[in-house]
Amino acid sequence: MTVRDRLRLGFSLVVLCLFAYAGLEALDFSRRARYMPLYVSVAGFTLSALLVFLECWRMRTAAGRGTRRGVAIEDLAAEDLFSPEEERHRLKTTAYYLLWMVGYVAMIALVGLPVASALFLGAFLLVEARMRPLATALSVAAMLAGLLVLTHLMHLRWPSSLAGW
Amino acid sequence: MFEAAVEALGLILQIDRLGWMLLGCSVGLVVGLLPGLGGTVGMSILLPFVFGMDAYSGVALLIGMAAVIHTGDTFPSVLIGVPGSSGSQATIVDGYPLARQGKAATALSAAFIVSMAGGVFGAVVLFATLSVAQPLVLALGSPELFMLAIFGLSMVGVLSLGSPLAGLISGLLGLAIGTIGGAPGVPVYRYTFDLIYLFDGIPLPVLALGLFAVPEMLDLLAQRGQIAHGAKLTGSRLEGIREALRHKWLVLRSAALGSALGIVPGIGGSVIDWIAYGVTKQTVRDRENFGRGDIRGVIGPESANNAKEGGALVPTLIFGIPGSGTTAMLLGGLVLLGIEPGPAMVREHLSVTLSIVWSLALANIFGAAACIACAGLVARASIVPASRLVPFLFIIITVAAYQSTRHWGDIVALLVLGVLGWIMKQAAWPRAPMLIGFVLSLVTERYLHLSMSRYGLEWLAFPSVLAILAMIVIALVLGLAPDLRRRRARARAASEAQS
Amino acid sequence: MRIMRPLLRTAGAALGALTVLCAAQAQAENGYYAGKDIELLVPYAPGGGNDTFGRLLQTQYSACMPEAASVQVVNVPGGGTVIGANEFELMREPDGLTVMVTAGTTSYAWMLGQPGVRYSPRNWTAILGLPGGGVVYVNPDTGVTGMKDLVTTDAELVFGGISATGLDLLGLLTFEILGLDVKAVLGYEGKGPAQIAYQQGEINIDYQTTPAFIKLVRPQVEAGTALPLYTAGMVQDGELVRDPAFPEYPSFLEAYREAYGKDPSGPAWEAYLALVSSGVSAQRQVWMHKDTPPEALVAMKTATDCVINREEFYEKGDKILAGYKPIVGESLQRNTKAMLSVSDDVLKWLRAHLNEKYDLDLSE
Repeated sequence: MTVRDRLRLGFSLVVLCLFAYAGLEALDFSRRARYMPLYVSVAGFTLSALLVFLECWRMRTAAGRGTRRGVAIEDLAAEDLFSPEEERHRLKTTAYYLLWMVGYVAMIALVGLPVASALFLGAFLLVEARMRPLATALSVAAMLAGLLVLTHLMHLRWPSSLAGW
Repeated sequence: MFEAAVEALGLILQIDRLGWMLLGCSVGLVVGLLPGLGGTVGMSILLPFVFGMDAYSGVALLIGMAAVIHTGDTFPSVLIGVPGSSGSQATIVDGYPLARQGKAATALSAAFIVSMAGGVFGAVVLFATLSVAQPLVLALGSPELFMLAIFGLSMVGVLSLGSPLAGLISGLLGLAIGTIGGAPGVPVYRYTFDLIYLFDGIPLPVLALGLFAVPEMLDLLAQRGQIAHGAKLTGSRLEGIREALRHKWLVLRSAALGSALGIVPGIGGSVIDWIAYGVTKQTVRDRENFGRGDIRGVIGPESANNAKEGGALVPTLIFGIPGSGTTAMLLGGLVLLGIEPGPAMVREHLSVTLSIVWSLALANIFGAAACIACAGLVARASIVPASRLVPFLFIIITVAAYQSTRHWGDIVALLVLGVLGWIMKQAAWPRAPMLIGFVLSLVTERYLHLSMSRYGLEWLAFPSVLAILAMIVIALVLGLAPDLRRRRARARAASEAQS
Repeated sequence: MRIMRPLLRTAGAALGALTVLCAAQAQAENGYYAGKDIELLVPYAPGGGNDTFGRLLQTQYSACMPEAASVQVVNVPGGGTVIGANEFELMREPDGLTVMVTAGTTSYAWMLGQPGVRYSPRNWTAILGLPGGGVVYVNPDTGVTGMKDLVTTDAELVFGGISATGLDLLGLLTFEILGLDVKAVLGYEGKGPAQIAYQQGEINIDYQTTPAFIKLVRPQVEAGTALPLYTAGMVQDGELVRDPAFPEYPSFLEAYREAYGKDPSGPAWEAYLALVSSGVSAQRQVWMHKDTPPEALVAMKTATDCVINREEFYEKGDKILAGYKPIVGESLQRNTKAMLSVSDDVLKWLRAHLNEKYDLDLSE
C-alpha cells in the first residue's frame, strides 16, 4: 500500500467515525434541532461505510493499488502521482512547512502580529528563499508598511498577544 | 421611465460624483483582491463617510464599491487558487489550473471582460424588473426556496464526477459542519463543545481559506516551484478577450442565470457561482477539460457573479430585505442617506433608484478596465518562486481570516481546516462539495423546517416545487449522462485491451 | 532588484503619510476619552434596524465627543444578540471604551435563561434607551374584521416569527392570553422575510415592530390587505397604555377588553406585563459596564445628553427613531430596575410555558 492509499483509507475511516459521533450527539439535541444533523450523519455514515468497503475491496485487486483506478483519482494531474519514497519525502517536507506556519502563529500569540510577521517573513526569505539580506530587509519593510496602512484604512484588528502589541 | 433614466445619468455623470464612484471602485477592488475579505469590510470603511453626503454621491460611492468586488476577487482565485471573496470560489476550479499552465493573463482578462458584461447585464435586469419585481419575489415561498437550495446542493454531483462517492460524502460533511453553532429558530447550540467561538459556527472565509489556500501554499512550497509550471507565461490579455468574445452566448446565459438567482433571497451569493459553474459544465460540449483549465469554467461563473449584484439589489431596494452582508450594509448606508428602500422606493425615490442602476453599470466598466490594465503586470506573480510568494500570502491570509470574528479561534480554525484541506487534497477528495454543503446547510434546514411546519407534507405537491424538482433532475441527467457514457466506453476499452 | 527602489520609495511615502495621520489624531484635549478609540458594539449583522441605529449613534457621538480619536461601530452578530452580548461581557475591559447597543431580545434571552447566555445586565449600566413597540395585524382574508371576530373565528391563524424567545414572544403571549389557537411557524431569518411570507399568504397574522410596520405594513393597511388589531402597548405606572407612535390603534389591554368585556388576568398576563416593561419602554438600549471608572461614566452621560439634544439626531434618525423619544437618567434607571426585578414566579411560568408549547429546554 502506498502512502496515498493509506491516507485515503485512513481519512475515510476518520470521516466514518466523525459521522458516527455527530449522529450520536444529535440524539441529545432537542427535537427541533435534531433532524438535520441526524439525517446528515446517518446518510454520511452509510456512504462512508460504503466507501471504506469499496476502498478495501479495490486494494485487494492487484490493479487497484495506487493506480489511477482507485476510487477517487480522476482529477489528479499526472505529475501528482509519485513513487512511495517520493511521497514519504513530500509528507516530511509538507510537515516542515506546516511547522513554519504554526511557528508564525505561535509567534503572533507571543509578540503580536507586526513583530511576528516581520520575523516570519524575514526568516523565511533568508532561509528558504535564500534572499540576500538587503532584499529581505526591504521586503520586510514593504510588508510592514502595507500592513500598517491597510490596518489603519480598513480598521483591521490584530490578534491579542502576550506582549500586547 | 426612460426620461427619468436619462436624467439620472446626467446626475451621476458629474465630476465630483464620478470621483466618489472611483473611490468606491478602488476600495472594492482592493477588498476583492485581498483574499478572505468580503464586501462587509469595504462597506465598513465607506459607511462612516456616507453620513452627510448627498444621496447621489453616496450612492455612487457605495455602489461603486459593491459592484466591483466580484471583479477584483478574480485575482487571487486565478493566481493562487484562493477565494478572493465568497462569490469567487468556483473560478478557482478552472482559473487556477490555467494560471499553472502559464495562462494567468488569459484567464484574468477573459474573466474581467465577462465580469464587466455580466455586471452591466445585471444593471439592465435591475432596471427592467424594478416595476415588476414584487410578484417575482413573492412567488418564492419557503417550499420554493428549499427546492432552490436543493438545486444548489445538486451541483455537488456535477463537481465530483471523478469521484462521485467521495464528493457526495464531502457534501454531507459540509452540511454537517454547517450545523455547528446555533440552530435556526431555536436557541440550541450544536456541537460547540462549550467553546464560545463555535457558538456562531465556523465562518465561511475561514473555511474557504483553510480548505483551499493553505493546502495550495503547502504544496507549492513542497514542490519548490512557482504557480506557473516551468515559470513561463504563455497567455496574453488579448487572447483572454478573444476567448470571451468567442463564447459570447455563454456569457449571456450565465449573466441571465446570475441575475435571476440574485433575485432569490437567502440563497446567497456564494452558491451562485457554483451553480453557474455547474450549469456551464452541463450545457457545453467537449467538457473533458473542465477542472483542468477550460476557459469556459472561468467565463461562466465570473459573468454570473457580477450579474447577481444587479439581481440582489431587487429585493434589497423593493422590499428592504437584503440578500447578503454587502447588500445589508448597503441598505444601512441608504438609510443613513435618508433613503428608505421598500415598496415605495420606485415611486418616491425614482431618480435615486435609477442612479443606483447607472452606478452599477458604470462601476462595472471602470472596475473591469482598471483590472485589465494591470492584469498583465499582476499575472507575473505567477512566476515568482513559491518560497518568496507564499510567506507574504500566508501573512495576508492570517490577517484576513482573523477579521471574520476577530477571535483567536479564527486563526486556529484556519490551521486545523488547512490540515484537513491538505489531507483531502492528497487523498483526492473533492473539496468544492464541502464548501457548497456548508454554505447551504443553514438555509436548507431553515426552509425545510418552515415548509414542514407550515404545510405538513402538502408542499411536496405544489406545482412550483415540482417544476423546480424537474429542473434539478434534468440538470443532473444532462450533467451526468455524457460522463457515464464515457466511463462505460473507457471501461469497455480497458477490458478489451486486457483480453 | 530593479523593483526594489520604487518599492522603497512607496514604502517610505506610506510610512510618512501614516505618521502624519497619527499625529493629527493625537490632538490632546482634556477629558477621559481624549485621543481614545471608542467602540460601539452592535450584536447584530450589519444592515438591520439595530445596526442602523448603532450607526446613527456613531455619527452623533462622534460629533459630541470631538476629543475622542474615533467612534467605531463593531458588529458581532450571531445567536440573536447573544454572541455579541457575551463578547461585551467576557471579552471587553470595563474601561469605558466599549459601549454596547442591544435590543429587547438581549434582555429576554437573559431573563429566560437561554442556553449560551454568559452575560448579565446586572453587570451593566444603561446610558440611553429608545422605546420600541409593535403592532399585531391580521389578514382580512381570514374573515376577521375585529377583536370579537378574532376570538371566535374558525379560520386557521398562522403566525410567522424568528424564535419564541425574542420579540415575537410578545405577540405569541397575546395570543395565549386571548385564548387563540394560532399555529406558530418559527425559524424565519428575520421579520423582513416573515413580512414577505405574509404578503405571499404563507402566514396570515404577524407582529412587526414600529419602524418595520410603518415602512412595510402601512401601505398594505391602506390597500386593505392588512388589518391592524392592537399594539403591544407600553407600561406606564403599572398600567398598559397606548403606544405613542400609534395613538390611533388600541393597546392590547383595550383590545382584550373589547373581545371579552373584562380585564385580562393570570400568569400569562403577568408575564406579558413584565416583558413589556423590560423590552418595550426601552427596547433598544446602550450599555456600559458597571465597573467603568466614574469619570468615563460621567463623560459618556454628558455626551449622551448632547446627542439627544442635537437636531441632527432627530432629523437623520427620523425613520430609525420612528417617532419615539429617547430616555435617559431617572426613567431609564427605573426601567433597568424593572427589568432586573421580574419576579421568579413569572420567569418560572414563562420557562415552563415555552417548554410545553414550543419544546424549548431553558435552564435556570
